[in-house]
Amino acid sequence: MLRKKFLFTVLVIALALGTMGRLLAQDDQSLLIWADAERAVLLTDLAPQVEADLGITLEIQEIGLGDARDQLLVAGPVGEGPDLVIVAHDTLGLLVSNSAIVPLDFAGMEDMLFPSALNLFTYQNQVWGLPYATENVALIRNVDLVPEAPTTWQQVRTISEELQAAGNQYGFIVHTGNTYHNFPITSAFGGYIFGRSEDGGFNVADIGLASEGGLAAAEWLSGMYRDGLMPTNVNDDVVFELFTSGDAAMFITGPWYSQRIIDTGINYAIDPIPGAEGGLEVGAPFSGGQGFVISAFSEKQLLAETFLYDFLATTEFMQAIFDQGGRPPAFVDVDTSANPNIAGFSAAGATAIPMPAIPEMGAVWAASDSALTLISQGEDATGSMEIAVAQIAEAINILQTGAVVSATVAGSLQEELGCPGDWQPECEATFMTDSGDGIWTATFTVPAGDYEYKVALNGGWAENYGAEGARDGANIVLSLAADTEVTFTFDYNTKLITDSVNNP
Amino acid sequence: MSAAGSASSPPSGGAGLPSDPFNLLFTILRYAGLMLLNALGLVIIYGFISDDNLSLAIVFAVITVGANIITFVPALYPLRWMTPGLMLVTLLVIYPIIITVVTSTTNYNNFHLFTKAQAVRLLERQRYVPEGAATYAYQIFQNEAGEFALWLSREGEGGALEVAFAPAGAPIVAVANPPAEPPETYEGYRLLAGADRTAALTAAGQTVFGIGDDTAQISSRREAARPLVQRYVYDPATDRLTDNQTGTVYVADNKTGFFTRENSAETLSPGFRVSIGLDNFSRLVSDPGLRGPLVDIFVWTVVFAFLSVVTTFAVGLAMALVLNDPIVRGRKIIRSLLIIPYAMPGVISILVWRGMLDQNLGIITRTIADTFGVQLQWFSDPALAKVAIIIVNLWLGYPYMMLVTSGALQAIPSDVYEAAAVDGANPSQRFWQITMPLLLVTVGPLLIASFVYNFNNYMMIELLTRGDPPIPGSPTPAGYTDILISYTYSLAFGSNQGADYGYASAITIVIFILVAIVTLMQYRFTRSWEEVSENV
Repeated sequence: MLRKKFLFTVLVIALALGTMGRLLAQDDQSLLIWADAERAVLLTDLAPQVEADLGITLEIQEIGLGDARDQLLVAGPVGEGPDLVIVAHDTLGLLVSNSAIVPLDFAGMEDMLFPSALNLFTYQNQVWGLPYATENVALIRNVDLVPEAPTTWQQVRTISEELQAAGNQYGFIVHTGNTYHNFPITSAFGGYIFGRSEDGGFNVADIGLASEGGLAAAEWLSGMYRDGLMPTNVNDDVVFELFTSGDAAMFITGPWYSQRIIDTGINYAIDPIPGAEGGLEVGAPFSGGQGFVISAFSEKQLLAETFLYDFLATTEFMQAIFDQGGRPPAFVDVDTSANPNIAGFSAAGATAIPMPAIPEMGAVWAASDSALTLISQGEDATGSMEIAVAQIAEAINILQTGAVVSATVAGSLQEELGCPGDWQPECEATFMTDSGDGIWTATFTVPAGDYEYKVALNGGWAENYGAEGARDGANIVLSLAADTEVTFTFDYNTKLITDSVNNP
Repeated sequence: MSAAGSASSPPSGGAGLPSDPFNLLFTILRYAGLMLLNALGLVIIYGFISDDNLSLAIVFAVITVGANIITFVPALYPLRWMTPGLMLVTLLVIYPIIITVVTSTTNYNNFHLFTKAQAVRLLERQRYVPEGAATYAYQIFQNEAGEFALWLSREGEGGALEVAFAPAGAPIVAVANPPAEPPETYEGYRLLAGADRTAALTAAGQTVFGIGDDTAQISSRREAARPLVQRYVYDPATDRLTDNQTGTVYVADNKTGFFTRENSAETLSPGFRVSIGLDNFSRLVSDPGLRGPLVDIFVWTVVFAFLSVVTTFAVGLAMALVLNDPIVRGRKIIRSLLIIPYAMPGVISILVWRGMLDQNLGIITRTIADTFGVQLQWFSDPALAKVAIIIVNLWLGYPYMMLVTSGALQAIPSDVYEAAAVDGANPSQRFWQITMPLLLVTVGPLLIASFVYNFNNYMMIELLTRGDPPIPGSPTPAGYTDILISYTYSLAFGSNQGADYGYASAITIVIFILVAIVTLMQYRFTRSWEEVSENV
C-alpha cells in the first residue's frame, strides 16, 4: 500500500518534470546553431542584435568544423540536432546523399557572391549552403632571395640549384606526404584527382594521379628530393622555421597562416602557383570554403531560412565574419583592404578548382599521402603513384559497394532453376561460389529456351554487371536448343561474365 | 512527502521499518533517495522513448527497476552497497558490449545511418509542387482563436493581381477586387508582421490550409503552393515506397538497406540499417587490406606491446632497487622527479618527443648529427621509427613500473634475504631466485594489464608516427609502425572517408578475442610463478 503510493507519487512527479522539459524546449522563435569556435563567439556577440531585429533567439553551440558533419547525422534523426550548421564545403556529398540538408535558393542574389564561392556549395546542380569564406594555397616567396616570381616548376628547380650553390639551403620546400599542399604541383604538370564525366560530375573510375601529368609531377618531386634540393619530413613548423631563418626561399601555404607569414619578418610576396613546361600555364590549387547549411531534420526550416537570407546573407554580417576570421570572403562587397595578404591569395585562387565534395574523395587522402611520403624517401615515383591509384580504386570499390559477399546469376532463367521468380538477385538457388581470387562460378542444368541474365552482387541490384563486363550493362542473351549444363563465370577483377554456351 | 510522513506507521514485514529515530532517519533518507532516483530514471526513460531510442530506454528501465528490487527485497540486502557500481557497470560496460555485438551484424555506416523508420520518415517529409499547381506569394494571418490563414497573391492572366484567402481547415476563397497590399485585418484574421510573423513561421509552415481537394501549404520562405504534395508514400503492408511525382515504386531491400527500384540498380537515399548477419566478419577475411600487411602489423603489435612492457619494467625495477637502498641520499626528491613523466599528460609528452626527434629541427637529431655526423631519419626509416616509439613509450611508462615495483619490493620479508645470506647466496642469486619470483607474483597481473594496454595503445602511434613510414606496395595504405588498432581504425574510419560502424564493431570484436587469447596464455605463465612462490 505504502509502496504503491510511493511509486505513484514518483511517477506523477517524473511525468510532470518530463513534460515540462519538453514544453520548455518547444520555443518557436529560437534557432539552434552549431558553429566552430571562432564563429560561435561572433554569433553569440551578435545574438542580441538578431533578437532585436528579427525576433529570433539564437542558441549557439560550439562544434568543431571537422565534427559537425558526423554529429549532425547522428543527432539530427533523433531530434537533437541544430537548425543551422557551419560546415566545410567538402562535407556536402555525404550530407546530401543522406538527405540531411535542404537546398537553398539564391535567385536574385547572384551578384552579391563570388561565383567561385557559390560554386563550392553547389552539388548536383543545386546550391546547398551559404558560403562565407573561401581558401586556397599560394606560393609564399622571400623577395630578397628570389626577386622575381618563378612561372614554372622547372624554374623553381633552377632557382633551388642556384641558391644551394650560393650557400642557401633550399629554394623551395613543401609539406612532405601531404596531398593538399602538393596538389598545385600535380595540377601544374597536368595531373588531377578525378576526371570529369560528360554531365560535369566526377568520374571516379578515372584517377589522374598516375596520368601523364600526374607522373611528371611525381618525377619532378622525386628529382628534387633525390638531388637534396628539398628536405623530407616537412610540416607546418618546419616550413615556418626554415622560412624565418632564410634557409628556405619559397613555400606553399594558405590564408589561415596569414598572420604567421607576417610574423616571420621576412620581406615576402604572395604569388600564384607556377605552371609547368608541358603542363598548365598556372598551377591550380584546391579551393575550399566554409558556409552555413540548414538541417533537413529541423522543424523550423522556414525560420532558419528567414535568418539565413535576412541576416547571414548580408554584406554587414559577411564583413563582420571577415574582420574576425581574415579568410578571403565569399561576398563581393566585403572590404578586405585591412588584410594585405587577401589580394595575393585571391589572385592565386583565380585558377583554383573546388576540392571534390564527393564521398569518394575520402579514399584518396591516405593513399596519395603515402605515395608522396614514399617518393620523398627515394622510392620510385611512377611505381608509388600507380600503387596509390590501385589503393584508391580498391577503397572506392569498398566504399560504394562493400566487399563482395555473394554473386547471383539473375535473370529470366531463375524460375526454371528453382527460384520463386525471375530477376531475383537475392535468390540463393542461383548463387555463384567464389573459387578464390575473385573468380565466381556456378553450373546449372538449364532447360531449353531463350533467356537473358546478368550477374548481381551482394543479393541486390546496387552493383550488377552485364554484357562486356559493364556495370549496369545490357542483359546477356542465352539461347538453348536443348536442356544444357551451363557453367557461368564472373571474374570480379575484370568484371567479365562468361558462360559455357556463349563462350565455349 | 505524505508518503515519507507515513513511514512511521508500524512495520509491515519485508525490509522491516525500524523503530528507533536514528534508523528511521536513514530509512526516510533511503526512500527519499530512491524516489529521486526513480524520478530521474523515469524522466530519462521518457526522454529516450520520445527520441525513439528504445535500447537506451530499456537499459535505464533495467537499472531503475534493479535499484528498486535491490532496495525492497530483503534477501538482496548485501547488494545494496554495490548498487551504484552495478548501475554503472550495466550502463557503461554491459550495454556497450551488447551494442557492439549487435552493430557488428549490421550494415551501419555513413550510407546506412538511419533506422528504417527514420529513413521512411525523412523520405515522407519531402514535398513537391505538382505540375499544374499554382504558386503564390503569401502573407500569414491569424485570428483570435490562434488559427492561421494565408493571403495568397500572384499575377494572374493578363497581369491582373489574383488573390485567394486560405484559412486552415476551411475552403480557399478568391478575393474579389483585391487591394494591392494585404489589409491589416480580413474576416476576423489579423495580418502578422515583424516579430509576430517570425514567431508564427514554424507553426504556419506545418499547417495545411484549405480543405478537401483544394489545399495550400507554404513551400519556402517566398512561396506557397496550391497544392503541395507529399512526394514519397510508404506502405508498410507491402514494404514499398511510391514516388508520387514520377509514379516509380521502390521496394525496400532489407538485405542491402536501400529502397530499390524493381529490376533496376536505382536506389533511393538515404539508406537504412539492416542486419547483414556475419557479412562484416567475412569481409574482414576477404578484405584486401587484411590479406596484405596484416601479418606484419600483427607481429609488430605483439613485439611493440611486449618490448614496451619489458623495457619499462626493467628500467622501473632498476630504479626502484636503487631507490630502495638506504645508502642513496635524497631518495624522496629523486623519486618525485622520476615520477614527473608519469604525471605529465601523455599527449603533451608524445608531442614534445615528436618535436625533439624531428628530422630537420629536432634537438635530439641535431645533437646526434653535430656529435657523430649521422643525420638520423627517425620517421622515415622503419627500424628507427620503431626504436623511437619504444624509447618514447619507455619514457612514459617506466615511472609507473617504478612505483609498482618499489611497493612490491618493500613487501618482500627481509628474513628471506637473511636466510639466503646465511646459506651463502651471492647478490645475483638473491636477485634472480628470491626477488624476481616473489616480485612477479605481485606485479605479474599488472604486467599483463600493461601488455593489453599497449596492445591497443592507439594514442602513442597516432601522435608520434601516424603509422608512418608507409609500407611500399601495400594493397591498402599501411605503415611500418601501424599497430592493429591504428591500422584497423584507418580501415574502418579512414581519413575522412566516412565511418563504417558495423565493420569497425566487427574488427573490435576480433581484436578483443585476440587480446583475450594472449592474456589467457599469460595467465598460464603467472600461475607457474605462483607455484614458485609457494615453494620459497
